[in-house]
Amino acid sequence: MDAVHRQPEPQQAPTFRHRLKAVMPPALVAGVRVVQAVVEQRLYRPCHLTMCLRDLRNRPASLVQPGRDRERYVQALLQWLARAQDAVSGGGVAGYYSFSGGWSAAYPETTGYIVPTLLEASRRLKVQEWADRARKMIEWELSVQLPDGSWQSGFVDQPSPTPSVFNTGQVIDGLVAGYLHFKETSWLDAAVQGWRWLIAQQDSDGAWRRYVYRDHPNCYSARVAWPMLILAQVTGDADIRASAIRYLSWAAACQDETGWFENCSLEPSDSALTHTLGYTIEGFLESGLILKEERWISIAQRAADVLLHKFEVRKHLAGTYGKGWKPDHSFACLTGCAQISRVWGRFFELTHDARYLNAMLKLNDYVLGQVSLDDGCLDIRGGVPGSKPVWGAYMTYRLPNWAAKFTLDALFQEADAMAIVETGRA
Amino acid sequence: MTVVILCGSPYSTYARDILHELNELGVTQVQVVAADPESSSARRSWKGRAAALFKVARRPTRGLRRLLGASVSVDAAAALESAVQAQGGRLHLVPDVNGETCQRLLVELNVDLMLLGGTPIMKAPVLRIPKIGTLNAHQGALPRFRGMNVIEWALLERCPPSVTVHFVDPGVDTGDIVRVEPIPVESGDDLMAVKRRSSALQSRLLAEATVQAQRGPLPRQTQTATDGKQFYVIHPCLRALAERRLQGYVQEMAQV
Repeated sequence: MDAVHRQPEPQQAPTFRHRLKAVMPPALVAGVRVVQAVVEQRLYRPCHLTMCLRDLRNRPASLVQPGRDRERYVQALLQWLARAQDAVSGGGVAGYYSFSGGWSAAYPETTGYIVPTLLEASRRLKVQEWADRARKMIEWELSVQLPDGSWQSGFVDQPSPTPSVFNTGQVIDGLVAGYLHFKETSWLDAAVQGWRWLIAQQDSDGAWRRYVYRDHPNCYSARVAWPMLILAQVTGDADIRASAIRYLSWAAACQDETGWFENCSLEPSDSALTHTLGYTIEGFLESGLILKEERWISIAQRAADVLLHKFEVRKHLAGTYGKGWKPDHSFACLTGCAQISRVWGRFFELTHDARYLNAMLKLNDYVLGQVSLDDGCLDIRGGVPGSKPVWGAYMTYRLPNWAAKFTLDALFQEADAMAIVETGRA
Repeated sequence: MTVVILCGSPYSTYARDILHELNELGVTQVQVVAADPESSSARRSWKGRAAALFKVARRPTRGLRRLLGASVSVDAAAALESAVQAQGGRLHLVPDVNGETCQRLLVELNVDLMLLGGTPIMKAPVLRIPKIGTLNAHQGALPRFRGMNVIEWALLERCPPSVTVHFVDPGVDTGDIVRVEPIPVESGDDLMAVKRRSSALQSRLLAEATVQAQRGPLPRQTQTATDGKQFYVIHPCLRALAERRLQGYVQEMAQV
C-alpha cells in the first residue's frame, strides 16, 4: 500500500533541463513531453500505443454486452493474473505491468489478498489450477515473512525491507483464506505471528502510527481490521477481536457529517482515491457484518450511498474525492471503481435494494470496457489499467495486479447478486 | 385562467398530446413555451458549431441519422405550432426554459397554472411565477418511486405501474401530490406498450387537473424527502427482468 502507489519526486536544485523548460514556449514543452512519453513509456510498441490512442478517443478496449459475457472476462482476468505470477520466480505475483519497465517484482501485500480471490475462482469454476496457484502464493508469502512476524512494504526486491501494517494485514487475509481452504495449521500460525506484530505497533487509542505510509495514521486500514476479525473468528482469540474494534473506533471518527473520510489518502494533504475509499468502506462493511454491529455497517453505507448518487448523476466515478466530496474527474481509478462496485453488490445482498445492483452492473460494464480481450500482447490482454485514461494520476501507464483482483471480486459479487434477483428473492 | 405548457423543445409530441387533451375538455387559448434548440448559445458560438461538425465528421452515419431526424423534428414543431394557433394560443420560443427570457415571458403572460410537457429539472425562479403552481405528471407512484425509469423500477419491485400528478418544487419529484392513478395494462402488453399508455394517461390526467383547478383548489398531499427513494436510469439486465415481471403482472391482472 505504500511505495508502489506514489513515487515522490526527489527535491533537486534546478538543472539545465529545468532552466531550458522555463524559457521554451508552452507548445514546444508539450511536444517535448509527448516525445518523452513515447520514449519512456515505450509507446512505439503497438499494444501501448493502441491503448493510449483508445483512451485519447475515449473508446472502450472491448465492447461490453451489458451484464453479459462475464465468463469471458473472468477467464481473461484470471489468465492475466496467472501471467503476472509466472512473470516472477518464487510464487508471488508481480505487482504490475508497466509500459516503461515491463513486469515489476513480486508484491507481498497484493499477493496476499489475491489468494482469497483465486480460491473463490477455483470454487466457482471448479478449476484446481487456481487453488494450486493460491497455494504457491501462500508458500511464497511464508518465505518472505520478516523475522518479527510482519510483511514488508513495497516490492520484494527492496534491499532493506521495512515492515508495513497495511501489508501485513493483507497477507493475513490470504493466509487465513488459505488455512480455511487447505487446513494447513502452519499458515494459521504465521498469520497469528503477523497479528502479534500488528498489536505491538498499535497505539492505545487503536490507531497505527508506526510502519504506516509516511507515518501518517489512516482510516483505510479498516481493511486490516477485517482480516483480523476473520482471524479472530478462526482462532477464537478475543484479543484479536478487541484490537480490531479499537482500530475501527478510531477510524470511525475520521468520517465527517457528509460521509467523507479524513485521513483516507496516501499523502496527508491529498484527496482520497476511490481505491482507498474502497478499502475503508469494505473494511467497515465486512467488519460490521462479522461483528453483527449496525454502527460499522452504517458508516460504510453512508459513504457508499453518496458515491452511488454521484456515480448515477455523473455516469462515472471521479479518481479522487476531497473534503466535501470535491471530485477530480481528470481520471477514473479503475481499482477503486471495482472495489466500490463490489461494496454496492454487498449492500444489495443486505438490503435487497435493487438500486445498488443497478449501479454495480453499470460500473462493472464500465470497468470491463477497459479490459482488452483480444490484444495480441499477452501482457495487456485481460489486465486492468490503473487509471482511465492510462496516463491518469493513479498507477500511470501501469496495469496493477490488484485492479484485476478487485475486478474479479466485483464480478463474483455480481453473479451472486444476479442470482438473488433472478430467483425472485429480491 | 392563463394556462401555459412549458416544454424543453418545440418538437415535443407530449406537449401536443397535453394540448389536445386540454382542448378536448374545453380548455383553450393555452400558451406553449418551448426552448428553441437553434438559439442555444452553445450552438451559436463558433466553438459549438465546430464541435458539432467534428461530431458529424467522426461518426458520419450517426450525423446523417441526426440530420434526417432533424427534418422529422421540424415537421413535429410545425404541427405543434399549428395546433397551438388553432385553439387561440401562441408558441413562444425561448433560449432556455430556466433562463431570464423565459421568466420575463411568463411574467408578461400572467401565468396562473403551468404544465410541464417534458423539461429539464426546473429551477425555483421559474417555478415561483405561476400563481396556482406548476403541475407535472410523473410515470410512477409518488412518493415511493421518484426519478428515472420508474415504470421498470415499479415492476421490478412488484408494484403496479402508476402515474402521479404533482406540484413541482425545486426537488426531484418531491412536490405535493394531486392524484395517483394506476396505468391500465392489457394482455400482450410489453414495456413499450405500457409506456405509450402511460404517456396518454399523463396527458389526460394533466388536462383533468387543469379543469379541476379552474373550479377550485386542487387537493394536495405533502411528501417529504425521506418518504420515497430516488431511482436512476435502469441497467438493460434489470430492464429485461422488469419486462419478464410485467408478463407476470399482466397475468395477475387478467385473473383479477
